[in-house]
Amino acid sequence: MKTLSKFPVLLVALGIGGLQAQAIDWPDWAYARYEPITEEDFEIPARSGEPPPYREDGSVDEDEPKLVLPGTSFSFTDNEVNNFYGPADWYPGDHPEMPELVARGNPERGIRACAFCHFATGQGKTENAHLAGLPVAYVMGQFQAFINGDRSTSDPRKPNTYEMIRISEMMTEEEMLEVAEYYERVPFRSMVRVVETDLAPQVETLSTQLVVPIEGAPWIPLGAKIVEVPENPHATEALRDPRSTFVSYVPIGSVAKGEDLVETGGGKTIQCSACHGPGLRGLANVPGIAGRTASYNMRQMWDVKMGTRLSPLMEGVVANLSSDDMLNILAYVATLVPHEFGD
Amino acid sequence: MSNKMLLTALVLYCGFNTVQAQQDAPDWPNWAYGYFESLEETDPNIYQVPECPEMANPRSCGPVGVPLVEDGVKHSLPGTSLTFTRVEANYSWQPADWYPGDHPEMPEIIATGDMERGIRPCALCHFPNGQGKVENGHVSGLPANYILQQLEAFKNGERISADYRKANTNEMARIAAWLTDEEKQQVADYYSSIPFRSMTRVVESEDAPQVRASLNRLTMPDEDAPWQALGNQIVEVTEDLEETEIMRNPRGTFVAYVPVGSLAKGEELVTTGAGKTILCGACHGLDLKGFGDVPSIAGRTASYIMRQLWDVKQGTRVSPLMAPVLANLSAEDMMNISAYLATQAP
Repeated sequence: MKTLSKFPVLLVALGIGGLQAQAIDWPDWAYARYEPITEEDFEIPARSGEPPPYREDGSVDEDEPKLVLPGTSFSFTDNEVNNFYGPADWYPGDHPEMPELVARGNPERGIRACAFCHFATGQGKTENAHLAGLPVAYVMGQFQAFINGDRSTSDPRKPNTYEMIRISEMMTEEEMLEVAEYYERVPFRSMVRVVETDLAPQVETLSTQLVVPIEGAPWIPLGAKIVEVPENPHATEALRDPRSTFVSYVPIGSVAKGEDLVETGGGKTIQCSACHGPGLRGLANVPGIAGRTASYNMRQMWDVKMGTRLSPLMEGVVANLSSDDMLNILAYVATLVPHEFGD
Repeated sequence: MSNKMLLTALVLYCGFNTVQAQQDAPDWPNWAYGYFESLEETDPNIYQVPECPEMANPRSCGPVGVPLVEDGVKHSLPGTSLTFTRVEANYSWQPADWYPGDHPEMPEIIATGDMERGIRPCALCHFPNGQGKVENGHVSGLPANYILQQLEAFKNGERISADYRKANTNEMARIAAWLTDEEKQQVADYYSSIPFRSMTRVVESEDAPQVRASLNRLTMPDEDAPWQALGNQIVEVTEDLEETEIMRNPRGTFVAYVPVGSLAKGEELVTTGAGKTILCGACHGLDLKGFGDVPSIAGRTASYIMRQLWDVKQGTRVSPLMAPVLANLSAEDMMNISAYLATQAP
């Protein structure tokens, strides 16, 4: 398997400080796995990327209650919402007409609809990627990176990354182009509210990798990490609300520190806008990063740092940045307005 | 100011009115106008724009509201890291812009208005994204030419509310008269460039919340009152009261409780005309998303659509095209149409 080639790099990275180092500055909050990584986690079955067993026919049981969301008169049953091959399209007016693969995937090849995880709008959630508004060339490059083993996850317990690799391997070039062109057309909309705080909710990770607050549990000291959860966990998880928004609890002072690093490089790196453009809204084929969730952006930076996401451009940029620096940067980046209208 | 108006102003000044619907005219759709007290048909001011000194702040011609209490707290909304206090969010000459990425850069008249001429910024009521609310117009995604026509109609007295108490329609007439041609074009180009997003959830229901209305006739559920039988009307209210009314959330959404069976009846009228009228799609496009300069009507609030239909029927909104279309339609037909249209994806 091609993806295996990256793991020696990771093992070396871990090997130097051992798993102790991981415990200290590993941004587990971004990967939603809080137990230390063990050697067993690298075993291939865990990385198979097979879709979890779940209802996938979208059939409607008359007795099943119809679920509703604000701002739309459509209602769907749980089974329709979670149909791998044609999930509920709550807000058809929010996006252009979807290509077949985005709307329904391909059951024969086991390719789940793109819209199932990334939504019809491409907004996505904390545990996956925000595709809306990304440049076609960048998305095409990422498909290739998934195939070539140049984009994998540093935490081997992230099944959706492996599924994405598997899907990329099965997609035709024509389909990739269709998907990339579709998502480029949908403008990315702000979806994160950043709050500097001492306390944050306790969280748990659902089987779908989404991090949600533990209901009824008291808030606890945040410490040097970010807690990023849906504003309305029920709508995001159970209803797959594509207009879902998230709140990021970030350490007090982190936004200002992040701003300094982003705007000046802080003597450790170069300013982000050099490549990501004014307002970090993207420049030519370099993706916009403004207003994306801290979890997503942190995983990308950390994966580059760990060598599981190959990026000759970003590698040098993150070389001198600590996990803490990255956290501050991404807290700040999440506060930014993502796009000029229509970009 | 007539005694009646003074009384109304006094009542309004004391806060929100809990609804005591008085069905004097049994088919008058007061739910769409947000004025639930009976309309004095004999009032000499009916169908007239109330007098207002030529250069007065339009607001000073209407009833005076209760000043917003500043709590000094920076409030937030989902999906944005910007924060505003209540007074900042509602500041008449530069209201909060919660989601700058949801719209192009605003022309000055939209963002800050013109205090000198007493033109409040468009964004105050219609929001920077043009979504608007139940009590005003949903201006995003409308054809630029249609917006220009309507501004002319406001100015020429061809678009007046059938309920003369509707202060914001009267304010709109004054604003349209004061805008320069250049400003009108800016406004039309700006709002026509933003796609309209669905904002209403329609629920067929036997019961609905009791309603109260803000000074500007935003309809809200009366949270202290029990639900009651809906009857033959629509109750359309904010999904989140604090966010929509106090924080002016431009992504705010509404829920319309409509009579059981109204959607099917509305669908028949909209898609076939049901022998009483022509199908809406003939002019508004088969998907009801507009055609040429004819505006989209899909997914707008039932209250807004009903007011337009009713105003045309009453003759206070002049529309040679729509008048014959409505000739054979009852208030109930129009309500059913409004209910169905609100369910359509815009």
